[in-house]
Amino acid sequence: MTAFEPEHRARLMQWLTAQQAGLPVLYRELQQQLRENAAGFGTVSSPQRQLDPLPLLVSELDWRQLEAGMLQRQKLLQIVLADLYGPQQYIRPDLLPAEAVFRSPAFLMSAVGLVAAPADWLPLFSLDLVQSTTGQWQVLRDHALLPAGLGYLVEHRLAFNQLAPVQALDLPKAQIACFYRRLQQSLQDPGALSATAPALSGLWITSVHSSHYFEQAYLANYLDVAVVHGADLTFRDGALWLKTLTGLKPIAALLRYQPDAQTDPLELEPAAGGCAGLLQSIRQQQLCCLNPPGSSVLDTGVLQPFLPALCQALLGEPLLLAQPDTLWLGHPEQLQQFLAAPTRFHLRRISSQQQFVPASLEPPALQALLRQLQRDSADYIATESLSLQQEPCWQPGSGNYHAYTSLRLFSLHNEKLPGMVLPGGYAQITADPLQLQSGESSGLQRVKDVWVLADRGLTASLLQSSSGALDLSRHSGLVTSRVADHLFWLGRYNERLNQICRALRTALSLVNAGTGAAELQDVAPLLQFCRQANGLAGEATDLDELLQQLFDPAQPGSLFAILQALLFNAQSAREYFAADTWLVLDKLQQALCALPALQQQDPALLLSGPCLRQLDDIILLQTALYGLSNETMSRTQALRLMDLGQHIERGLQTAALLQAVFVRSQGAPRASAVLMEAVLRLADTVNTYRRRYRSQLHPLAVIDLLVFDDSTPRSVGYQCLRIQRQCADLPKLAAQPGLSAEQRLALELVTLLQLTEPQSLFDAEQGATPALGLLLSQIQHRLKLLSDSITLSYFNHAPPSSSWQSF
Amino acid sequence: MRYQLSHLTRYQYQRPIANSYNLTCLQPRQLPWQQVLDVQLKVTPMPCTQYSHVDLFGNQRQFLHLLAPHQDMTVQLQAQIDVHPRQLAAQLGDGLSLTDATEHRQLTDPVVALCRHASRNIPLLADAAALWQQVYRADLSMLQNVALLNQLIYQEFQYDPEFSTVVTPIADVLQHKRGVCQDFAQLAISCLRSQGVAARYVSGYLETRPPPGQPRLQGADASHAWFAVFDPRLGWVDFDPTNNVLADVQHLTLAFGRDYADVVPLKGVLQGIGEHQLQVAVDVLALD
Repeated sequence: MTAFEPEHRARLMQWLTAQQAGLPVLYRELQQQLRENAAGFGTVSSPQRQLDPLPLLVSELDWRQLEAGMLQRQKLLQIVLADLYGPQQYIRPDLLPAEAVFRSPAFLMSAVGLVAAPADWLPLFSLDLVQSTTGQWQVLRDHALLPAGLGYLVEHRLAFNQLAPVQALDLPKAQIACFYRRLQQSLQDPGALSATAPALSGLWITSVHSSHYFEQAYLANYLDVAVVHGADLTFRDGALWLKTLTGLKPIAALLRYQPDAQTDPLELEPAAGGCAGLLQSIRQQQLCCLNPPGSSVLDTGVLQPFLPALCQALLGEPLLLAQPDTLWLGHPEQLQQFLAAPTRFHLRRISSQQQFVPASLEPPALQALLRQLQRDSADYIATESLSLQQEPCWQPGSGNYHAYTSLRLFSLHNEKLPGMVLPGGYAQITADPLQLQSGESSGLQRVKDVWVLADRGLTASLLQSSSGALDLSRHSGLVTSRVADHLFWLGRYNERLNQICRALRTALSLVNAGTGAAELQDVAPLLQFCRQANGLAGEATDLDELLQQLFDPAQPGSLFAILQALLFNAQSAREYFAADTWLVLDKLQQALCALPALQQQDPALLLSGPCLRQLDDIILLQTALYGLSNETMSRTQALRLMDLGQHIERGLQTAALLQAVFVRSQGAPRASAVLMEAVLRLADTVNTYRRRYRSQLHPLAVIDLLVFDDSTPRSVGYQCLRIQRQCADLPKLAAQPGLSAEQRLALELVTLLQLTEPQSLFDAEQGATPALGLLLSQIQHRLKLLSDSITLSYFNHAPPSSSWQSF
Repeated sequence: MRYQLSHLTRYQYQRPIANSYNLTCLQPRQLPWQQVLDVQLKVTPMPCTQYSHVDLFGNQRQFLHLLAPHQDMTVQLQAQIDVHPRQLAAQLGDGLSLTDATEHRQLTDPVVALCRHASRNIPLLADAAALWQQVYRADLSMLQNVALLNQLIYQEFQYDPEFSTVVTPIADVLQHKRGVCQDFAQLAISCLRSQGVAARYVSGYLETRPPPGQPRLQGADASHAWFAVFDPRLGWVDFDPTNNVLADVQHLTLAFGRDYADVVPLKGVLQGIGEHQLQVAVDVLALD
């Protein structure tokens, strides 16, 4: 640590000494806090960060230099980017040689002329610094594409403030909330859309399956902006719109994690994850992107060798922030300089972004590298390797130790507001200084919070108390169509799995009860149902074969395929579930995986007690899932969609089951009493039936209970009423009077049941009349139409579509 | 020469498509040797929004958004174009030598410099560079050497429309020694760029004349492509390796780019399922 005023230094040493005793506890609590935060987002699997209990401290004097230097660098880079994608007058051999910059694949020709004002090319800037042994901060890397840290550092600061309030208060550290408020302002008021349409802003995540999803979702939550994905966006009338359950909402600004080349499949790479028309909406000045595609050419480091000269030429002053000597080897003198001492540098290839560390190569390998390099030296950039200063750190086991750290800072500067550097940062710790400088990170991250010891306004104020001002708007109930779609299908798949497991459990108990031909005949309709429920091919006759198919993970219609679909949908809507839900899903997966293991030991075991107990477990876990969703999810449209999915599926499958059992082809035997009882047990209605009818089994009574009686939670009638209620509360999309398409379908379903005379469904000999088959088919048909209609109105906002293709 | 040009692209979809986004590069260039007198771009069904912008190479691009469900989309370019002779064949010897041209590279315009580097479709392959060594004569100007390369490709590579598609890599073209105009142009560019020479891709049309005594077939022409080389003294000079000629009055210039990917005449992204059928009809009619 350098440049601390003497009295400050004394106070600091005193502070550090005072911390020692508390460090083990603080360390443990910080890690626990981080784990809990991540679990809340359903990202238990993300690579772990370990937060050092000793923050990186930056003195006020140092900070003032860093601040001024960073803002100068941002301004310079803004001018350079605007020129590179505009007049290109600085693309000159003495300033920024075309030979270097055009080799970079990050230069996107389609981004030329995208925005005009230099500040719009890089409103949000971040850079990585290290401290050399002389104590000087040196710039390692610039970032236009938002790197990790902006969300983590809020999490770190909150954790410190919660767990170590006294220690934290001891030092006058700058608060960071002001920066996030400014970021919010930049996102909410980009000045692009008219004031009449209050536009949303979004945080564009890469993928819900990415290891950085937690940070991105956490940051979106903190900034109170929507988490969006390419599939959530659609281009219309020159602007971008967010597809939500309540219709299309204009998006005015995007904070972007999605890589440049994957933002627009029409004009850039034809990859999924982007939104066709994004570049056009920026050209139309309807969308403000932090930062616009094309800007990450600076992330490749290709500009770095030229910045000292560019700064002098464009701003008339030297660079305030030092950077290690960086050579472009297309320049003959710089090439000589490099060749004189190649091991003093590390290398990066412009066209491929490949990195080399000559110091770590054996002489023959180094010679080969140098030969390769001299064939096309203009493709290489050499950066001097620095000797770095170490920072005090603490970890259990080793206690106090010293390690190398890099410091990541963030700054904002746009046309309307003066520049601002986030007074704090995200620091990464490593034992290997070369790794730090080449920017390659391993799995486990050791990180530090960064405190700027500066008296700035309400220095002592805690973030929690100041975060109140951040809640400028709560778009409660704003559910993106993609998330709603996932929740709807989560409901459907969970129910489908449940119905099949129930039918299977019932079928297996029947088989266990006896081995006669009569029993096997009874089991056939149940097996047929299990096969059809998720679309397995073939006829249901052979029990062994069916079981093999159901438990074969490679089968597209197997139980595993359903579970995979269920998990995929749950992960895609992570933020809606509490940590307990993940625990249940995990156990569900384990229970299902235990079944084929049983089979491998001995196929006969599948028909035995352990298998039935496994199925019991699965059904119980699913019930827990229903309960958790009902108890923990807030009563929003999101939950409504999941509920609709569940009950549409239950209605469909129940009708299909009854059809398999009661509607037989001519000449086939009627449903036996054993089978009817099994169906009642399957639907948890044996007791209700016995109370009403004693022990006599009439097909009409069974149908009445499972189709018409709307007080039975598994009857078709109950599903229809519930669906009708939920459809009435769905958001109204069009201003047309009367019922929506979904409401109309629900009304048809309810009316269909009400207008049917149950007695007409069976003849005098208790055989099903054609009317029963017709009724059950009509119900299934309408439920499918309803599912399609919901997809169309609420998820797609467009006529039938399923995928994007390009030609 | 005056031409009436028509370029029709038609997509027929198996199922109705809503939301199709298209980007065209279909506006013939105004150039010192080419005047575009009258140009029309007709799109059916009518796009709900349409925007245009000019790209880095100066090509006019149209962004078309079709929202109403449709099963059939046609985009038709019609233009009347005057093409004047460039008379460059006799001047090739006046150009710089390869060594002198390379020394000038520092002073050129950035867009020229952009054409010295590998691009998405055109990697700089050693095998392509070897073609240059086969023809290079130090006593000739750079452009005269390019003419030799043009001839070499014409002689050694077989024109075979069955062999390649728009995404066939240059390496395959080199290996099998066959391809179409686009492949030959991109191959020549790869070879030239490996020598540090700026070369760009040119998309356009070629007037074809029927064999003597046979009637002209409407719509039987096709899009054509060739390449241009930058000589610091003479500017861009266009070579057509498919026909072993310098591009002249029979060549109508549509657009410039680093490679085919920069100047795809019509590309799109659409939301929908099912297959589509593509039909392209190009007609270049000489009016005088």
